[in-house]
Amino acid sequence: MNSLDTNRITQFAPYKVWYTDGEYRFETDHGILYAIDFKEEPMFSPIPAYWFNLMNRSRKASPNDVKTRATVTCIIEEFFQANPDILLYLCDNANDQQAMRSRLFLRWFNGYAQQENYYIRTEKVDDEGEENYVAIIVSRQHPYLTNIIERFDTEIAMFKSEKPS
Amino acid sequence: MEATTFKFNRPLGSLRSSIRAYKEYKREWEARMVEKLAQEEEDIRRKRESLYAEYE
Repeated sequence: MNSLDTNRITQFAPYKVWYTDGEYRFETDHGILYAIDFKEEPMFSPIPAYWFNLMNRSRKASPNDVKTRATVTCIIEEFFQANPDILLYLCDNANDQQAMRSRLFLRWFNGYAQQENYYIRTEKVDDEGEENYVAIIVSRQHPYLTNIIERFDTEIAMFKSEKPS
Repeated sequence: MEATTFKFNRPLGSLRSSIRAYKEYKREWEARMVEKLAQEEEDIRRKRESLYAEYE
């Protein structure tokens, strides 16, 4: 994956973003430290894909903060500038709040000014009684957008029809 | 390239294992973070104790 330009992110993001220990980090006005990393996912190979991993490092309750939302969307925007690939997001299942987090993530992303440039969809799949909300984000300019959507749809359909091993 | 001619390398049906692998990765990442935070807190506690000891 091409690394992100933290100077460019900070130019547009409300919070200063820096890179350390393999993570992109920023601290909010409420003293909460967030970390973001991207894990490669081979499912769409040869098209690169990455899981978008957002973590509250401070482990403190995070109040609704528009600056956090804006900073996260700036990081996603920079990801697509540097990597015109596929971004996947799996909602954290801590406290059984997946559905709420899924909606929140979509709301964040849909509130983003450039969102019309991206194809985004969320699907719910159950694995051994645990709900998983998976989101896919791809640039609408991606030359293989149709293939990627078809692949995602087929994977989701197979997941739903399979019995877990 | 036309949509019909594109070929993915991986066999279909890997979403379940991908999700499980990613969750495992995330659990490990969180565990490392908790360990690091505990270490940082311990370092702060030691520094504070050492400062108090010097003051006394």
